[in-house]
Amino acid sequence: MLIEEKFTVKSPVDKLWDSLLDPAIIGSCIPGCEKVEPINDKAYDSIIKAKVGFITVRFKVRTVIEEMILHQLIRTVGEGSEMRNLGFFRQKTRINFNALSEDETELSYQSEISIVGKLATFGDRILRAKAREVGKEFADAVKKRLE
Amino acid sequence: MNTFKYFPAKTVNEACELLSQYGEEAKLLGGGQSLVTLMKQDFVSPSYLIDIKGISDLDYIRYDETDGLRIGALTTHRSLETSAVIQEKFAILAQMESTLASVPVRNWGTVGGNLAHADPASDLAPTLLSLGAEVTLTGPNGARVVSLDDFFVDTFETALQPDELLTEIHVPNSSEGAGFYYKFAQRATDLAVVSVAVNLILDPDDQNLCRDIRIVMGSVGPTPLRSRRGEDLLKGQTITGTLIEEAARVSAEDAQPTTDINGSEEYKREIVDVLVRRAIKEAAARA
Ligand SMILES: Cc1cc2nc3c(=O)[nH]c(=O)nc-3n(C[C@H](O)[C@H](O)[C@H](O)COP(=O)(O)OP(=O)(O)OC[C@H]3O[C@@H](n4cnc5c(N)ncnc54)[C@H](O)[C@@H]3O)c2cc1C
Repeated sequence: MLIEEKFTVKSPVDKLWDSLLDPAIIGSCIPGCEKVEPINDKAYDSIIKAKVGFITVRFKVRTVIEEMILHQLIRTVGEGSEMRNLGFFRQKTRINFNALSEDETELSYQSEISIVGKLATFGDRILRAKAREVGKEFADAVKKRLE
Repeated sequence: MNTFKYFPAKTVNEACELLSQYGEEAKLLGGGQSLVTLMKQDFVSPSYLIDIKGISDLDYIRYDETDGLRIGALTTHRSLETSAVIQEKFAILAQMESTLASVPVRNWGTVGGNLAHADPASDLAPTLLSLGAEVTLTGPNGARVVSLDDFFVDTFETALQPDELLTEIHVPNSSEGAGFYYKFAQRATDLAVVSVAVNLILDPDDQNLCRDIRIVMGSVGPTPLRSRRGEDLLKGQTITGTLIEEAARVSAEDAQPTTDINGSEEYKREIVDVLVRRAIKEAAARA
């Protein structure tokens, strides 16, 4: 499934860029992110929790930065498994930075996510609806943190 | 599946006390049609299971001309489907039940469990919403009545507190009209891809005048959704083909479907449009 979002942050592009590459800051903006741990300067491990009603799942995710064009683009790939073996998850994300002015940046991202395993069989329809919400929460968190 | 401690509760009080004692670690077990499947797959792992199926006081269907219809939470889907008074007074409920899963599931599954589970694809929820139903939630400090409009909070989330049971469903007599439920699914026993429940009350003196209407859509949002704009277009108006088409169009706009394995967002809106149109016409024909 594809999650896409485009929003404007009142922050200069260099500050936004540095923030999104800072594990502590990006961790605090990803909804449900419980932990981010840098492995080297290109890879992070994280634990991400998602809750739908009475069902709570936790993914252990490794994210690798595949490409960076300074102040323009970050491309990552990631994969992880649900900690109680309810499913497996893979993602490919492009984040584009577009400096609108000295202190305003447009951020857009496209995340292609695939989930397999019990979670996918049980909840394709529910996961998709939830993913859209999570995308919006991320945008709000980035703005709140940086503006 | 994890191990758990099993308590067969005999009264509502006993069930509430156990819920208060064990909190989030505990789960109520009705017919088990949703819960047991989720437990088998390890999606939920309660440490305590409180079986309420033995509370016989909660298994009833009562009808009274002034008070309306009261259904105990442990009434099964099959009992609703086959009840003579429901077939006569609230036929939409019996008609909807005949589309819900299969007879074995309807023999076990309870109406309380169906609403408490709050699956956006429930067939019962939109139908009861179209009838303006309310539910009684009972906790250690007594009972409270909540309109079904305020009961569903999000996917799998309701207004129930952790120490409360859903004990009764009430359909007011003023909702007696004519309704129709449309379910669109891949196969007859599957969950709805889109569903629509319409309950229509005509003016007794003018059989073309809509006194009240409720249009409710299932499976196209985190909870069942009412199309209030669609309802407002028809309320107090003489029903015409053009108005029905307009109401169906705004309902499709009000729906919040997501693209999934069953179809795209646009496709599902199109189905909402068709089903709302047909459901209003069917309801009007039965009024
Ligand atoms: C094969 C299959 C197909 C199905 N197809 C459909 C369908 O097409 N349409 C549809 O609407 N449903 C469908 N269902 C779901 C079924 O209708 C519901 O599972 C059933 O009605 C739930 O009732 P239950 O008594 O079995 O609940 P349980 O599974 O026992 O409980 C469900 C949840 O509700 C809670 N709960 C139960 N009773 C109460 C109460 N009184 N107060 C508070 N909380 C309570 C439980 O703790 C649990 O969280 C299907 C189920 C199966 C297995």
